This record gives sequence, structure tokens and C-alpha cells, in this order.
Amino acid sequence: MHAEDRMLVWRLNRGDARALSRVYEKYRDDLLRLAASMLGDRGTAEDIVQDVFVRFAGLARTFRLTGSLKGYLATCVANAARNSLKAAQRRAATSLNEATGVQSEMPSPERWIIGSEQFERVSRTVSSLPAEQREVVTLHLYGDMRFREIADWQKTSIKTVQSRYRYGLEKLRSVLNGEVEE
Amino acid sequence: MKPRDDIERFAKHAPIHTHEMMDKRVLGRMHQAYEDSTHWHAAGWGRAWMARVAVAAVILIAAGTLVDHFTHFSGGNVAWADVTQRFESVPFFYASIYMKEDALAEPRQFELWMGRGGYARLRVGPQVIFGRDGQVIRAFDIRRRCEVAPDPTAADIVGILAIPGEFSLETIIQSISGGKLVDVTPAMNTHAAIGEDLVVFDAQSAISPGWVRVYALRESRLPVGLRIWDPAEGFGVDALINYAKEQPQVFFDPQAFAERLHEADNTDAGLAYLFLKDPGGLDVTPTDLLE
Repeated sequence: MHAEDRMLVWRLNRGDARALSRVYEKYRDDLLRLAASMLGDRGTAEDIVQDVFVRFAGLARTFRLTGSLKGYLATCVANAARNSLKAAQRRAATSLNEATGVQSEMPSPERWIIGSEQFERVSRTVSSLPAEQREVVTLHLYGDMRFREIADWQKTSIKTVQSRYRYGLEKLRSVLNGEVEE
Repeated sequence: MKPRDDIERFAKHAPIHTHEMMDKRVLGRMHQAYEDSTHWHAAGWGRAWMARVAVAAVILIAAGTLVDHFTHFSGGNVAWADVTQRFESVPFFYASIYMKEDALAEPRQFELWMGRGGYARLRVGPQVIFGRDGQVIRAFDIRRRCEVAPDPTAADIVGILAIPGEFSLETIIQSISGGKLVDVTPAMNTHAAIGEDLVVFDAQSAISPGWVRVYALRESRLPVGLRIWDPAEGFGVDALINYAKEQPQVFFDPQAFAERLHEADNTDAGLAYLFLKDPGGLDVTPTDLLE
């Protein structure tokens, strides 16, 4: 458990609102990367991360840190992303208009993420992975979660998670091969 | 094929930026959610509140006006009840209160005199403030030699004197100490001879690492010092409490003070402590030196 996170939570428990800004600055980018890569939909990803931050702020006075703060926030984002994907799948099954999936890349004046070309390619490639691999890759890379923690979250064995990560990374490597500098 | 570490690094550190306007909006929503969370309002923690509670604790401990409340929440700690009970017979006290916001901050001093009949006089910075029954009567700026609006914190302190219902020892002890004061004299005073003279009570907060320590005289049971400390940021309050003969009534009289405010031969020191008499007969003001 990071000492700084413990102190941030401690400050929030005692009414120091300034700690919110630090939590936000510290984890915003990785949570946005995680959500965007899991969903492949920038708008929904932004909404989810925003909601997770706001909900965390609402709980912060009584929040008890038992593991990693980043892992906690990443799990919240991953849960919401999973639910969003399931909801989108249900809608797609009942509506032809929704059948194009969760993509909604319409330009918006309220857009939050300004992604680099590298981010766009990585996000697109990760979001094309099978769901289980995508979850493992994003939670491990952007949530800094250990395989054991991800195994608990996915309710599977640690070996399965390691395999999913390995396969996911192979796929990323093959697609992004030309992007990586030696 | 690229090394595995490189692909991880490439994906993990893909540059990303955010719109400042959206950052402000999200942070604004976070702060609103934080402020709206009810636990906070119930617990009442915060630096400003902590400072107010600290001063209230000093006043109430010194004044001993809420013995019943404290006795109830001290869980039958008779020794501490004795301490506060003793105060009921104290007609006058002076407290010098130093408060610092964090470890590196310069402390701000509040000087508080209380007399019979609900009279109070405070000095903070260049202001001298007169109060009675929890109301500020008049406030003066010594440097500018004029009547002014009272310093908000000082006005708050005067107000605390009249609202035991809101700022009872019950509130303070629940908030700061979680309701228990423990006699820690043996641990504090390993030298037996010192322990015979002084009794020390500690209270550790149930909801924070903050603590309060009260020093009292063993025989008379009079509290003489108090420290409140927040180890997270070094917020602290130190108070020294003195008891002596009561000051003359003119000391608490704002009209008498106002009449002397514009006297050319009155220095800042002379006005800050105008009419104050040292019970031991020592000089307090420049005027005393000349008499």
C-alpha cells in the first residue's frame, strides 16, 4: 500500500478537500486509459471515470483503504465498464440502431480526453481483444493490479489470468509492432 | 518481434491529455460530492472548526462551566471531574493561547481575560475586543486608534462563551477525544517528585490521530496548561492558563478604553494592556514604569 495513498485517504477522512485534487491528478490518466481501452467508446469511458471519481469523493470521508487506492478505483471503473458493455449488448440485441456496438466517437465540445496518435492506436487495439483478455491487460497495465487480484475479480485462477495476459499482450505486440521503438 | 517490456511500456505510457475545462468540471463535482457527504457534517472536522473547538476547549476547561457534561462523558473519571469542579470557584482567569495552522506556520496569539459577570476582554493582533455574555460589545484597533469590526475569530471566541449548548464540553470531548480522558501522569512524569506535583490527562481522538493533553496541579486540581495536537500537519494549540486576583472592573469597560484611545502619550503597549494590573505588583505597561 502506497504511503502517499494512505495519507491522502487519511486527509480525506478528516475533511481535507485538497487531497481530492491530488487523487484526481494522480489517477486520472490511467483510469481514462483503462476505461477507453476496455470500452472502445470515448464518451462512455469519460462518463464512467467521472462518475467513479465523484462517487469516490462522496464516500471519501468514511472510505477505508484496505489495499491499493489505484486498484480500488480501477476496479470501480472496470465494474462500470463491464456493466456498460453488457447493457450495450442487450440494447444491440433489441435495436438495429444500437447494433453498431458501443462506439460513439462523435466530436463533442465537452470532450475530456485529448489522446495522442499512440494512445488512439493502443486503445483501439486493446479494445479489440476478447473481453477477458482486455480486462486483464487493462487492469494490469493501467490499474497496476496484480494477477492474483485480477483473478479474484474475474473469479478465476491466477494461471488463467496469466494466460489471458500473455495472449493479450501477444496480440498487442503483433498489431502494434511497428509502433514500438527498439 | 519486440521485447515484451517494450510493448507494455508503449501501451502503458501512451500520451494522453485532458481538457482543462473538463478537469475543472469533474473536480468541481468531486468537491461538491465531498461537501455533501453527511458524515462530514456530523463529525464536524476541519481545520477551521478544529481551531474553534481548540479555543472553546481552553475556555471551557479554564472556566469549568460544564462540569456535569464532562463528568458524564468522562466515564466516571472522578479525578478529572475534580479538576473541572474546582473551577467553579475560580472567579477570574487569563489564558494565553497560541495556535498554529501547520508545522511551519507562525503561531497566532490570543490573549483572553475573563471576569465575573460574563465579562471578557481579548487581544489578538492589533485588536482589543470587549465582550459580555457571549456578545462583542466593542472592538478597537490599537494601531489605527479607532473602533473597528471585531476580528472574526475573536468574535467567535467571545460567542463561544455564551453557547455552551452548542459548544459544550460534551461536543468538544466527543469530537476531539472520543469521550475519554486518561490519567497518564505516571507515564509522563517518570520522576516521582514531579509526578507528585502535576497530574496529566490525555485524550486520543477516536476518529483521528489528534490528541489533547491537560496539565493540572495535583493538590489544587487547577488546570494550568493544555495542548491540542494534530500530528498529520502539525496543527497545534498551546494554552497557558493563569489564575489570580480579579482585574478591576474598568479593565472590562469599553467606554473607559475608548476615552483613552486617542491620548497621544498612550503607546501601543499601553493600550493593549490598558488598566491591566499584575497581581504580583510588577509593571505591565509603560504607564506603570512611569508611576
